[in-house]
Amino acid sequence: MAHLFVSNQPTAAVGEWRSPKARMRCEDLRVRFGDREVLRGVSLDMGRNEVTAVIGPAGAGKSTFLRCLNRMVEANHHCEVQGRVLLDGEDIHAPGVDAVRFRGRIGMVFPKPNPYPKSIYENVAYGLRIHGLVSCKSEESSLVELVFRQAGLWREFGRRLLAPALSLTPGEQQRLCIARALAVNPEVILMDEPCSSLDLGSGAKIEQMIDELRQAYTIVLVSHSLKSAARVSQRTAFIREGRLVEVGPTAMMFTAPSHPLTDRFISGYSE
Amino acid sequence: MMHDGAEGHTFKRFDGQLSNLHLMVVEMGQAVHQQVQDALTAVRTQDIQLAQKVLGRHQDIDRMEVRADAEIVEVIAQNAPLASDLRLVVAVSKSVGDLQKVGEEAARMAMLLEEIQLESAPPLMETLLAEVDRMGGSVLSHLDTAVGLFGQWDEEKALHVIAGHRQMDGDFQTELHRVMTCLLEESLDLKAAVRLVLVAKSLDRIIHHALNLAEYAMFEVYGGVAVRS
Ligand SMILES: Nc1ncnc2c1ncn2[C@@H]1O[C@H](COP(=O)(O)OP(=O)(O)O)[C@@H](O)[C@H]1O
Ligand SMILES: [Mg+2]
Repeated sequence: MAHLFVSNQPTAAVGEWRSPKARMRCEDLRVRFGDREVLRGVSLDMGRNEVTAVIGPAGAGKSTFLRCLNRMVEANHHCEVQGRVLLDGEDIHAPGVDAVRFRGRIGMVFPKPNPYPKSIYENVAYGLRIHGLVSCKSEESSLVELVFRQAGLWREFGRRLLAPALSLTPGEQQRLCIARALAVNPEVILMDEPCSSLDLGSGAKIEQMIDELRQAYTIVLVSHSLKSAARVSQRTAFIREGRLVEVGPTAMMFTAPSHPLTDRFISGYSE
Repeated sequence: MMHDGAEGHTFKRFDGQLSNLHLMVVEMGQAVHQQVQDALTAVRTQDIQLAQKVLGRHQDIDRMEVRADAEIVEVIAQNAPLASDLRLVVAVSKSVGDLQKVGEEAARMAMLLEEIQLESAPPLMETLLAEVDRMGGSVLSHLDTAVGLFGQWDEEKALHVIAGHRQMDGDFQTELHRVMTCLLEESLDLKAAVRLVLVAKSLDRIIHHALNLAEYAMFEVYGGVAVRS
C-alpha cells in the first residue's frame, strides 16, 4: 500500500475502542478515493458473540468502513487503503492471504436484498459449491438444509426450495441472503443497513435473526435506524466525517453519550 | 443548527416541547413551594383559614401532575427521545412525581394545624415552634433552589441541595430528642407536641424530595446519578 497521506494524528475518539472480546480489529484505517479522504484513521475492535453497530450520518464512511473489513473496497481501483485490519490477530492484507478464501470467512449482507435469480435452494448451494464445501449432491442437499436450520429458516423455506428466489417478498429475500452468507460458514458477518429497504415487520424479523446469530458469530451492523441499532447491538461506534467520534456500550451511547456530537446525532438533530 | 425542510420543522417543535417540560417543573415547583410556605405560615400564626386555603388548592397540584404526565407521554410517543433528550424526559417525569408528593406534605401539615392550638402555650412549646419554623425556612430555600435548577442549571447549587439533606437529618433528630425530653418532664401538651413532630417529619420528607430533584437534574446534565451517602 502506498503511503501518500501519512498523518500521525492519534485517533482521539471518546471511549475505549479496544475490546477484550476482539475478533476483528482495525488500526488507523484510512481510505482515500482520488483526493478525497473518506476514512481518516479509524481504530476499532469488533468482539465475538456481539453485535457492533456502526452509526453516523449519510456519507460518514460507514459502508466504506465495512467494505474494508472484507477487502471489498479494493475492488475499486481509484481507492487507496492504509492501516491494518486483523482477523483473529492476523493481518488480512498480509502477503499470501488469498482474497477469495479470506472472504469466505467473512459474510456480507447488503442494504437491498440481492438474491441470485435462481431457486431458493440454488442461492445457498452456490456458495457451498464455489468454496468447495461439498463433494456430492446428497451432501449438498443435507448441507443446504443445515444452513437453513441454523438460520432458523427451515420451517419457512424448507417446503419451497425450488421456488424462484425473486418470487419471495423483500423481507424473505433478505433473510435468504443472510442464509446465503451463512452457508460458507463465515466467522464474521457484515451487514450494511440490512433492514433499510424493508417494512417494519420484516425488519423486526431480521433483527430477531441478528440477535440469534450473535451467539455464534461476530456481527458488524451498519444501521441507518438508531432504534434498530439500539435494539440489537451491544456496542455502538459513531462515525462522522471519516472519524470515529465515540464508541461504547450501546446502552450508554443511547442514554448518556460523552461526546456532544454523539449526543446531537443520537438525539436526532440535523447537523 | 441547520434545518432543512419538514424535518427541521419537526425538530424545532420538539425543542419547544422539551423546554416546555422544564417550564412545567418550574411552574409546578413554584406552586408547591407556595403551598409549603403557606402551610408553615398557617402553623406559625395559627391561621386556620390559610390552612384551609392550602387544602383547597391541593387539587390544583394534583391536576398539574396529571397534565404533566400527559404531556410527557405525548413527547415520548411522538419523538422517542434519546441521549440527553431521553434523560431530560426521565428527569422531568421523576421530578413531577416528587413535587406531587411535596404537595401532599404541604396538605398534611395544613391538616395538622387544627390540633396545634397554642393559646396558652408554655414557653417550651414556643421554642419548639420556633425551631420548626427555622427548619421550614431552610427547607423552603432548598426546595426553591432545587426547582430553580430546571430553569437554569447550576452545578454548585445542585451540590448544595444534595449536601443539605444531611444537615436536615440532624435537625429532625435533635427536634425529636427535644420533644422527648419535654414529654418526660411532662411540661408539654402531648397532642400538640406530637403534631409538631409530625410537621417536622413532613419537612424532613420534603427536603428529601428536594434532594431527589437535584439528583434528577444532575442525571439530566451528566447522565450519572450523584452518590448518596
Ligand atoms: N467508489 C467510490 N468512489 C468515490 N467516492 C466514494 C466511493 N464510495 C464512497 N465514496 C464517498 O465516500 C464517502 C463515504 O461514503 P460511504 O462509506 O458510502 O458513507 P455511508 O455509508 O456512511 O453513507 C461519501 O462521500 C461517498 O461519496
Ligand atoms: Mg452506506
